[in-house]
Amino acid sequence: MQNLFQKTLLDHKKGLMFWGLGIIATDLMIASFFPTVKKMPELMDQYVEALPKEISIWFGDLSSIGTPEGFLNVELFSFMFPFAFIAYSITVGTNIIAGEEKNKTIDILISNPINRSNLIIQKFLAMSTLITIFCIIAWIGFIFALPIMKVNLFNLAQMCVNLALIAIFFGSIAILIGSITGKTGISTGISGGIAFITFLINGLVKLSTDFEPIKYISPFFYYSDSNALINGLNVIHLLTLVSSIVLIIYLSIYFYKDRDLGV
Amino acid sequence: MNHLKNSIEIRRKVGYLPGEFSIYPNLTGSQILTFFSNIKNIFDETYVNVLAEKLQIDLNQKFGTLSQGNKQKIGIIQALMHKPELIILDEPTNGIDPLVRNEFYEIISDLKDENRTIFFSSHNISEVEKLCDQIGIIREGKLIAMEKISELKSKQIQIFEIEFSKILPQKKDFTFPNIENIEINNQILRFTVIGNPTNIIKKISEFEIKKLTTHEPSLEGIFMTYYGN
Repeated sequence: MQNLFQKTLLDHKKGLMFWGLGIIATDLMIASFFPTVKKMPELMDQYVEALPKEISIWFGDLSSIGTPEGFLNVELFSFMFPFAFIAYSITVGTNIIAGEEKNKTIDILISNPINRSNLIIQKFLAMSTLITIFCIIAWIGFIFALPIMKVNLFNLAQMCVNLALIAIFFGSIAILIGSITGKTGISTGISGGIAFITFLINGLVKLSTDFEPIKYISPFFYYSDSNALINGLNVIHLLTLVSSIVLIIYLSIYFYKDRDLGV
Repeated sequence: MNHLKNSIEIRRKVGYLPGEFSIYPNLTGSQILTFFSNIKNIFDETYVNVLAEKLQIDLNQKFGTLSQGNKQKIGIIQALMHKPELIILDEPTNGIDPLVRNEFYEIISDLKDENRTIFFSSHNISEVEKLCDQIGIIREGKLIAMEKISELKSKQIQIFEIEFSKILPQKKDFTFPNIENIEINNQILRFTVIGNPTNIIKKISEFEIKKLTTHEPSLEGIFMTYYGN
């Protein structure tokens, strides 16, 4: 046990194992449905056409559901994986900062020679590492699924980068709220609320062009708009997410540095 | 040193045990101490083992499974392991059994002999008397007194206990400014005298005395006499 970074990683080793197994199982289960979908292109087309726009907007590009990439977009990357990964990152982001205050371990931690900026950075890096490991696991899961679904692994890797970034973004929001308030409930609630609202915005703007400009405030736009599984990463969108994360962590340090932690 | 500019450097020289020592329950004592030694950047394994042996604590058990007293021992080792110049201990002996407590007193005495400054807070005044040179009394968050123990003890405070044979005096007979805590019970009069008792002895001599004893109070007695109200 060398430092805070390693300790934070080790704290989550059990979760890492269970989530890892769960991700691989999900990959394989979803992939196993693909041959059936592929065998019935006409039926799927009818089904897609029958879906009202109010519903189809939440599932990405339904017209390409017959391809492995389109199928994964609809089944995994438009809803299930982002929310699972975001839920995990918010939980970790909350626990590593506000959790230390809730459990009263922050008292002894900051009485030791560690500065608060360093504390936030080490914990943020640990959270980001955990999420990156999950994304790599999600990618590896589809290597096992290759015999039943031949997905472009390079594009899939790019999609996983996007997935990691959107999860790290909301985990960082949880770190920021935890740094400001020190309350786990508030940190989880606000971060989860922001995730839900911005997801709704990203879907609803597709219903009317009047709302078009609002889409830029939703991080989900930068996650999904480029359709990385098919088109690869959009560098501008990627940089927007990365710089937003850097800004959020900078703000976390700013608020945490001088806050009275009551110790 | 500036406490803001040199905060890290200062904390490297400080060992701190909070009143409620709480740390990661899933780590063993040994892992906790390694973790803190890495943060402090100093690890004297021999000294850690000496402290663990004296305090009789198994460092291989998970913190969450330890009793209150054993958790406190991990906290004490964590505060002392880097031999800091300034040691701040808030109620360090909470939950620790009397035998180990004596070992702890020895550890603190050794650190005192090495000229380290120790801030020690306790509700147990006999333990303060045993370990400290100087005492500060905090009431409702304010420091109301600060004295050397030797000076506090040298104050002329005596407890009188007098048994009368026939006529029992009344409380009002002893309304002297240097008398405190006066009480009469079963022909026995008890009170505390602060300063010179000559005036009181003269008054006592007016009555027929069966038995008279005096003794010096403990530090707690002195404390209560001065600051009890």
